[in-house]
Amino acid sequence: MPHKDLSNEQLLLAINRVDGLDALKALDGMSGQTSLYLKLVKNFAQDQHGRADELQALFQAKDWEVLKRRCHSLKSYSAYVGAYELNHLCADAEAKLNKGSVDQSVIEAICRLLDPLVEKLRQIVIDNETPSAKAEFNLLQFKKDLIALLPLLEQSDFGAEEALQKLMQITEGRDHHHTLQQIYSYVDDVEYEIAVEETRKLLESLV
Amino acid sequence: MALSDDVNSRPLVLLVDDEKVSLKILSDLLKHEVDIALAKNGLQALEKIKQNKPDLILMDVLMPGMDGFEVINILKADKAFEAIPVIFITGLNSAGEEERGLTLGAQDYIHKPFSPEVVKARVATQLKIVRQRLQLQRLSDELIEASEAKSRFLANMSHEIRTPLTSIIGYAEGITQGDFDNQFINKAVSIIAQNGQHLLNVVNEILDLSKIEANKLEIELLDMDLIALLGSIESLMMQQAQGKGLTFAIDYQFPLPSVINSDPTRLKQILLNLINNAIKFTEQGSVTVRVKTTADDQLAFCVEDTGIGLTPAQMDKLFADFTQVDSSVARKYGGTGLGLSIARSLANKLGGDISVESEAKVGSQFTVTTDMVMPEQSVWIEDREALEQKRARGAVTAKEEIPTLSGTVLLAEDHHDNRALFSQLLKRMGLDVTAVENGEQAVEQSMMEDFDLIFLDIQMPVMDGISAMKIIKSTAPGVPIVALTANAMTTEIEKYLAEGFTDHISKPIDRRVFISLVQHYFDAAVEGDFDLDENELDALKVQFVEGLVQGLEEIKQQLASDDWHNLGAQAHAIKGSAPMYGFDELGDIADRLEIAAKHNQPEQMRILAQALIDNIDSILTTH
Repeated sequence: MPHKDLSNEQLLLAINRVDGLDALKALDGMSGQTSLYLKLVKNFAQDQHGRADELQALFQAKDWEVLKRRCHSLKSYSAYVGAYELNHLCADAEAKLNKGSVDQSVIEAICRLLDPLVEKLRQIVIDNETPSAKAEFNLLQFKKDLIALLPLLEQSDFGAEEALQKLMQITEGRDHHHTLQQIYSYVDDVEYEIAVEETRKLLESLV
Repeated sequence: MALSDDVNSRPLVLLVDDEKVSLKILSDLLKHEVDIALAKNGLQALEKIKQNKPDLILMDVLMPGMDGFEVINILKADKAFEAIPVIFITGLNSAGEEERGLTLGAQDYIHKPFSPEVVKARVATQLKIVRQRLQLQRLSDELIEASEAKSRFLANMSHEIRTPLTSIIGYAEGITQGDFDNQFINKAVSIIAQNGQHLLNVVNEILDLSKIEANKLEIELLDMDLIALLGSIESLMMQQAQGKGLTFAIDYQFPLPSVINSDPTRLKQILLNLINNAIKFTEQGSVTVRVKTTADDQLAFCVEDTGIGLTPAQMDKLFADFTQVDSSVARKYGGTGLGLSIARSLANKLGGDISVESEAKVGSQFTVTTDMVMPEQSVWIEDREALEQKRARGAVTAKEEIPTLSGTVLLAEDHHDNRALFSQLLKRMGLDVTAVENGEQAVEQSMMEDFDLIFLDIQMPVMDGISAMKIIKSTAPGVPIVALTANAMTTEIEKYLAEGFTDHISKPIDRRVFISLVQHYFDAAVEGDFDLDENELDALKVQFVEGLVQGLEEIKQQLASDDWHNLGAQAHAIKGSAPMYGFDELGDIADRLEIAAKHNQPEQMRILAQALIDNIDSILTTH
């Protein structure tokens, strides 16, 4: 989906201006792979939306094991996007949870950084997206798109997620939408091998 | 496709992490160099390992349910997967955890957040190790197979060598102990000779194989008479085939070149190997050799039989060294298992190859192709008639002629039996022979007497052949000195000639080559005598047939009066000339009659003389 008036470079600069984020250092750690970094930032903004509330709830429930796993995941994720202060707080929380439990102040400190960060990033990378016009369904084009999807699935390429999302948008309310949803769920579970088989069956049914 | 299926294919790497972001980053980093499979947890990872057998696993330690340590424990306990290298990826900074992972069998650790260069370098290193391990495993498997094949070969060789030796020693002892009556002694000697020849063939095959392995298998390209070669092969193989009740024929598919530039010895070796096999593996029916030119200007010899045939599996291992198609075949039919391998190497050297088509229980067709280089003097033989005319003009005799020469020969050979054999052969040619045991004695003799020809063995005690040659040449520079060489490598022969020898002959000697060589040094006017044109030959043939009329009357008189001496002389005369005009059978009978006369066997002579008369009658009737 095209971003309104923002090139990758502009996006990068905008992200770098967000408090608590050093995008350029993070990009450096990724050998300058801008498109990969921007995808990670977008995924971060999507995946971590509401995470702060979850962390608070886990703390209240004293579910230390799950809380530890969430802090462990967030620790890595925040390092990838360049949120290094958040990364250190998560590492501290994880270390304490390894010993048994953690203070509420530590979790609150994480949430204080996480919430505004996620909101800001959502504004830059998601809310600014100009939704593309929904393409008209065309059977021939649909088959071509499925054929193009197959190698992505065979190679377990995460690019298949985006391709499937587009196809699901096009087929909404039509035949095959449900099948595509099933294929997407396999991809989401990284069962690419099953997704390949189902896509081949779908193609054969269209012949 | 994993490296274990094809070492040159793209490797398959399994990425295992419950955090999708890690899977995405690693996948993005590696997907251009390797194929990727993904798993989000330990159970899924184990399923995908069983399905895909990856070449390398990158696995997170901390995962819900089954963690990375549990997964690696399960892998290392399963022989099918224990060798798959594992790199742990972790966000934990714990020396204790690292130690545990490495102790469980992990090859390496990568820490989050990933450094792309570190990830790529560590993955590349592990995949390189995997490739090397697979190549070493393949090499080890091949070496084991080769070793087993060589063991089978040695066991087979023991049989192939001991069997003819049993006959040779047994019959020789029988002769010396007087076990056989006079009538059987010739047969016993013939058996010894046949088995000796077979043993020589076995030894030659083994030596050829060692030359192939040392890349020293040599060919000697000469202008050779193709029709004469095929005729010689037909003579050799016909009896063997007919002895088994098989029909044998050479099918000439014209046009064919009369002369080609090739290695006659090696070409004959290939064809004899294929024909021998065909006869060996055929119990009834026929063996046919089809000779033709191909569309790409090569010569093709197709040896076709109606024998036991081969299955596809047997055909696959046909040309491997030391391999009979299977051990039951080796036990039933014998053989070194080297012949086809050597034959193919020789065919390759001659610019061609050997291929096979076969059907089990129906028969086989082995086709050998070679380059077809036609020298200037070669002509196309267009049909059967032209072939027969070519044969008639060719100086091919069924039995060798031993020429009568005059002169003196010095022979130095330390091996008693060889010395006696060569001396006898030279004396049969009418030469005066002085035989000595070593180089020093040869030098002494050469100073006391002038010789027309000198043979020196190379390896001799007291003084070797090269040293003796140098001394002799310094005092008698004009006398031809021939090296008797057991070592037939071209480099060694070139060395002897460079040292000063005039010529060489390899042991064991081929009688015809030996006779031809000696004749060359005593009678240089031999070559060119048979270069007659068609009209001259026809005229001579008419003259010969007219001469048979008178000869027939004389033979009848000699038979009636038991004049064995003159009958023998008559046979000698006919023997020498009949084959030149295409009367091979007449020449053969005359030759046997002459031998019977020399051995004073009247009964034999009577029978053969009558056969001679009958044959001449037949010729006179048709000509």
